Amino acid sequence: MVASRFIITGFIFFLIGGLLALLMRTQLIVPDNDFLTPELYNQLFTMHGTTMMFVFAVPIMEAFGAYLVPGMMGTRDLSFPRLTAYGYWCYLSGGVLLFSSFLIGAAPDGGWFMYVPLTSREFSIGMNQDFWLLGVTFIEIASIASAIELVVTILKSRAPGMSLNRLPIFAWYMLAVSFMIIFGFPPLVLASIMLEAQRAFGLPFYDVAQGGDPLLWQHLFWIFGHPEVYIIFLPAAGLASAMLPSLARTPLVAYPWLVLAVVGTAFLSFGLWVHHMYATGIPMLALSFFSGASMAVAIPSGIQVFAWIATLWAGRPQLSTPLLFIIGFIIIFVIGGLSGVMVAMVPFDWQVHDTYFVVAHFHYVLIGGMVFPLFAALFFYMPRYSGHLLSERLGKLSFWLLFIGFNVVFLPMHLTGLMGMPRRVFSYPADAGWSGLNLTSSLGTYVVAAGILVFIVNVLWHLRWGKPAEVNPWNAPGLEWANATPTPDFNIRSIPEVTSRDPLWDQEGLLERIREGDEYLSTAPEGKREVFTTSILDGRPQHVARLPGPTFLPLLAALATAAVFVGVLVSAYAAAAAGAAAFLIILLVWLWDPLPEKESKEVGKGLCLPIDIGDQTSSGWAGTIVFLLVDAAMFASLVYSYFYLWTVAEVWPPPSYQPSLDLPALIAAVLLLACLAAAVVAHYGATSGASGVALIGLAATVVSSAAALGVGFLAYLGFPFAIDSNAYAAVVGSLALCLGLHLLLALGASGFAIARIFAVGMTREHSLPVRVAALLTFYALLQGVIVYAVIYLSPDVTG
Amino acid sequence: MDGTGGTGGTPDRPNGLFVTGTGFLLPAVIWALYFAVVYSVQGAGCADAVQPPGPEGFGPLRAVLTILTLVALAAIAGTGLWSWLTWRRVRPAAEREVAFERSTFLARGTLLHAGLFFVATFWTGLPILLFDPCRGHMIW
Repeated sequence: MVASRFIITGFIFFLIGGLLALLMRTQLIVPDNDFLTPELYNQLFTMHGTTMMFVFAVPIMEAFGAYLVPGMMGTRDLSFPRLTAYGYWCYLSGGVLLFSSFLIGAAPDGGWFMYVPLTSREFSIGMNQDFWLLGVTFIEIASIASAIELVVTILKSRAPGMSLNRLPIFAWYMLAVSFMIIFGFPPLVLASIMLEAQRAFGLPFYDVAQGGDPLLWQHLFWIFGHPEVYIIFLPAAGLASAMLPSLARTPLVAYPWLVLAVVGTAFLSFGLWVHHMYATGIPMLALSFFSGASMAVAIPSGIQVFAWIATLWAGRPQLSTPLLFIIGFIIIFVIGGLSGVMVAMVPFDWQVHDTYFVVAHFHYVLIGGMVFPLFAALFFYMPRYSGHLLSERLGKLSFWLLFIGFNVVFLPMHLTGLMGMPRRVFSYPADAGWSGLNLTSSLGTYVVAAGILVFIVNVLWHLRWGKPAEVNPWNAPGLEWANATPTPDFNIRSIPEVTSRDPLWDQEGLLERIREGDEYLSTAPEGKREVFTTSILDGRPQHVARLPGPTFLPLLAALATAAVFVGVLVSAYAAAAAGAAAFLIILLVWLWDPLPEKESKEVGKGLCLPIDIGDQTSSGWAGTIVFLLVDAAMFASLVYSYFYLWTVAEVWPPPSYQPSLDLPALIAAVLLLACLAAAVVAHYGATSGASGVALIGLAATVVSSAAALGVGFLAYLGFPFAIDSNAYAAVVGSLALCLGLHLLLALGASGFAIARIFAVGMTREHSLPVRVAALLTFYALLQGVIVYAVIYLSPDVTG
Repeated sequence: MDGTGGTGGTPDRPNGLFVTGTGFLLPAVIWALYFAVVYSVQGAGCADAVQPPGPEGFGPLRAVLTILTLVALAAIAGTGLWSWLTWRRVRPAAEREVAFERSTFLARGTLLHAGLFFVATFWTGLPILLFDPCRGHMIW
């Protein structure tokens, strides 16, 4: 339900982003046009890029993951349904916040990449860039939340027997993409917080005059920004891989090679970011590292293309609308991929940097690589949502309009760029020689718009007159079709034992057994929503997990989060603090889940499993670890910022800035060691089922972390600088603040665990709050070691 | 990870790193570490604060970068060889049983990863032989 709401919202934002593009192309249809003012044009291209990248592409792809992955894996929902809902409300609120900027004439206008110093307070006085920084960060919370639950669901909640080698191919894609979001989004979140801190409080992270560097923004942005391209492309490629077996009527060719390609792309995509910065003066050898990696990533992309062609070759494809869109995708994506290899080469990139050639390239990659498979998926999976098939005739018409229109828009742009037309100009002179090409591109845009209009008409038409879809209308092999259409909210009647990668094709009678309730967990006598928690490697059932029912908590939590963001936006910091406090209270209520009324239950076929185990096998534990990965990526980005600024500084730290390891700092270090000992005791209590020992450890954690916070604050006050006086001071102060926040988190988690033990008790099997508190403490202490080393040791090392 | 965490195992029930998700990711992780380290070493070695006006040619910074590349290539080749041996050990016992299928898949996947990331590492490291680390021009 929430996932389909996500998809519909994402599609509406796609239409809005497309409308902005239509206005821009209308402005460029003739030279010296005055249809738009330069200021409005800047806002439109900024919001077009921002909308398409942040508000449409990533959310809608994650939404497809949330919509399809549980069904494909034979489970009933994502592991954390309330987090899904929270993510949705954050996403919607962030999108509304971003677009509300138009109402006061202050839409962001610094480009979707927000380069400093253009976007610093000095050159952008209004709230335009603040809307971007806060709105996009708000939306990224939703993206990260979706990524966490997709990882946990794919690793921990599958049909019995679904080992890693039997994982649906789309799940592999979403698993890789979710990890990419987990490691790729935090650098941008951090960069945005740092820029907002510079704009609002004068912390000079990017200010050259005070030891900062604008290129730090570019590094952090593109560490996110290049994986972002694959974060958008890979799920769409995964949808194509998932649909092709049904459309070609043969199993997917080279499944292990595709998995290799997906994981390989996920890793390699993090070694490409500087290829957006070839023109910034970075030494040639460093550029070459990224050039090499940029070319290497063509290998896994090529593997995927060959696997798709081989699947079509081996099968008996019927040229239905989804297949047309997939073929269109392969053609366009290959062209975009090849021009990508061209711009991966440094000398060529220098010639076309910031020209329309690059615009043509990335639209071939993104529209070809993402929008075409998206339309294929919308056609293919629509019966799961509506119970009706879309019109093939209208579908083919929309495909040809989109395919022809797209190429009319973007193929000439390669030439426009090679002829020297720069990006992001609101007009051009008549004698530049670009008029014919621009006219062609602009006319093509209207053809694309017509194609989308036909698609919308098709959707509206099919809701009333579309042919009713049968069960499994495409004769697909995956479990997502093992139900009547439209698919009910519980996804699957009973959870099957899986022995094949294509269960509905290879396991005879499975569809009937699932639908008649002859498989696992077919009834819910206790009225609970139940799924399996399974082992990571082999999908072996470990226990029954109970999912929470509908609640307003996610909506309230999102509203509290919105109060924080809006409060910062309008400089009402008291309101922001109140929002944060409200969020914490809601979070405590959220986490206070009841214990099951019994220890175990029969799940079918003579199997009896424990219920809602709270130990290291649980989804909650896995979710905590994945959350800490997000946190670690953000912390690593902050440490990276420290060392990056060091490499560009003439003197690091500035004279008289180096903090000394004074008495408060030493006492705080000893107290951190006491925290470690206390957390070890608490963890031992949890793993041995001794609630008394756990209580002692938790209480000691609370006391020692509170003391460390207090003494640590004294050490911070002893720093020989003001935090806004220099980039060094800003980064070191941020590191100290980061450690303080994590100690506070560990303290809060320990207090929560103590309350749980007093209220509901603790056994070894139901000790998750204690384990999580200990884990958060260990993590805070690890950060402490790094923060101490960076602040007190590295200046000595660097001299 | 469950089930196959040990290092022993028998031909009937293969065990060890290269039939787990951790082993499956090892070549990619080695490449990622290599990439981060050579980029950082190059950046630190050429930083304004530390860069001495040294001689051109095969100086200490290039030597360090070259050694790092060779170590990474050797490590990735090692994971490939080991996973190939693991795969051969798994294959004769391959029947339709979850652990065997999964083990074969992951061991083979590790081998494929080793191939891909060996190429990626070689390709990334090749420019070390061509360019001066800090001044940027070709040295041949």
